[in-house]
Amino acid sequence: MKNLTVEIIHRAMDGDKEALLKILQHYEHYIDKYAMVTKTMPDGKIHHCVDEDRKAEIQYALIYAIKHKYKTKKL
Amino acid sequence: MPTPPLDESTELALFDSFVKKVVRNTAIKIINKAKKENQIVPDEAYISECTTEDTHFSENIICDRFGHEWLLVDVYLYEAMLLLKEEQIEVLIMEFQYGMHIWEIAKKLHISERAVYARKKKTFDSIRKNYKGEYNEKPYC
Repeated sequence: MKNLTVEIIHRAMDGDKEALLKILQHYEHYIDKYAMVTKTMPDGKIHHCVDEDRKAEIQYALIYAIKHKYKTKKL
Repeated sequence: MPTPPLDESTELALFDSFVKKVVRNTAIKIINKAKKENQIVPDEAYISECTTEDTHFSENIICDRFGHEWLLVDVYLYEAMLLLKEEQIEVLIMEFQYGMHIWEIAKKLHISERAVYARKKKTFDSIRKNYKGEYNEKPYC
């Protein structure tokens, strides 16, 4: 958690775009891992690549969850 | 009694855990949804109704073997496809015409996924060996 601070998290919870972007960048590789798909090409080779639609869907769900479901501030 | 404020490292750890949980759950949800959609395998009636005559250009060659018909781009590929066995054509049809996954083909043919993969590889090897077109024209169906 080198680049992430509590302040950024609190700003993201309030809907700050820059803070949300920072969080998305911080977790980009983690999201890519879950958005990875395996494709079999006509020549029989197997390719692993990031499904951009799936990635966008995960990112959208994450932003929504940070803004509406993360409640640490109230503890 | 008020809850004591969280220290920074605990809050960061909580947030990290929350984000990973959300990402993981969303990915699982998407995968399950995709699986449900892909499991709709066309039934036999649909397969027999599926004709290609009206929807494709007439210069494409229609290969009709073992009760399946499909379009081919050139005559060299047609000749190469004539040498394939029925079981090899079955795999090609399921994969490229109906977009089925290897596990779905394995389930339908009652064989292992590894056997499907091996059959597919053998099919492509056979096509490559018997394809007499130009080098740059990669055979596809």
